[in-house]
Amino acid sequence: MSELLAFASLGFRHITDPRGADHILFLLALAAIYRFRDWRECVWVITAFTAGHSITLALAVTGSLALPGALIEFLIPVTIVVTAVENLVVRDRTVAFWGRRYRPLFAGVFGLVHGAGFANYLRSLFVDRIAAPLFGFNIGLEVGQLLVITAAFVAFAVLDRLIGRAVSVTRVVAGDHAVRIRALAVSTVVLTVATRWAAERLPW
Amino acid sequence: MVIAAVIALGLMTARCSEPIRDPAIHPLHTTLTEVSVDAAGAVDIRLRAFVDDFSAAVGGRRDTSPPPYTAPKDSAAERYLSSRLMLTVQGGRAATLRVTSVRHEGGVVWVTLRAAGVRSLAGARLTNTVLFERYDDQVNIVQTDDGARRRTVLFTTRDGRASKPLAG
Repeated sequence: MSELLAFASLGFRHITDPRGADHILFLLALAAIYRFRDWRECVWVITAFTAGHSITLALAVTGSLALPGALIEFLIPVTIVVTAVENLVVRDRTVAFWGRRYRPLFAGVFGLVHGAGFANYLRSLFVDRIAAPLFGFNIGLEVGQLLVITAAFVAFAVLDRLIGRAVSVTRVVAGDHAVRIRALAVSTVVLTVATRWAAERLPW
Repeated sequence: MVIAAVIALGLMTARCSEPIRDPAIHPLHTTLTEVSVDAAGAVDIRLRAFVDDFSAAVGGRRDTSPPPYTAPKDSAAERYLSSRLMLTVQGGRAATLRVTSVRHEGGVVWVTLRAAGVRSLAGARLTNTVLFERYDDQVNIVQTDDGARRRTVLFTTRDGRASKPLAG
């Protein structure tokens, strides 16, 4: 196996590991507001996240940036909390600041934090030749993230249908409201779990 | 109001219950092993592992002790690795791996091993189950360099004790 492929495999395993709930939860929070037809926008957001964590990962692994592990471990769930809160607070994104265009920006910024988390574990491995391992690891992460998002969209579609059926019985809401209810439900669960993690990892 | 209630709920559950998982959110359980053949006709192996995990494994402890960590003695490391890092050369002969040094730097321990009388990695196979007994998501990365080509092999717990070829 080539070096690139081996490290891509490592990145893919890492991101798709069910025990890596921090990454999966963040991806769910990012994707919770989208419908299937918004998939391009969602891919942009995920790619911005990858770009963000690639930057800090490269800086930290090359020794250009040193970050305290305890602070990073705390900030990772904080990024999830903020994303979930944004999902809950912003009702109409067409009138929100910059429309939806700010989401890739903050996904990129939060990616910087998540990359620092990876770096604490990878710094010891990438000692000599770092370009191929880093590039491969990031490719694996990106592919894994897209797979997680695809699975999330399938689950969301099922959830939307169930919500749609339930609300059509009560005739209270319909159509896009099902997506809003799903986004609220997913974000509330994510927010509760991530808040707990953040509290457990308070660095002071 | 609702968001504040959810955050309060999260904080309360965090304070009132057991932690969901380890303090490290999602550690990467990996080791890196470099294998090369030197001009004197010996295989040199450099194993890099996290010192907390490796020292606990060599000491037969399930949990890692709090820092400061110390590297295990050469003999203890050799005893641990003898059943977890096994090299067979062309013809299926088992090569004897001797630990030549154990060095601890930062959070990482470097173990250097040597097997004399091996001139090539052609036909060589390696078994690498280091730390498999600790983590079921352990991935051991092995990189070989025979001078002409660099090759990377991954060993996962799913592979078990299976050996893998070190040369194409």
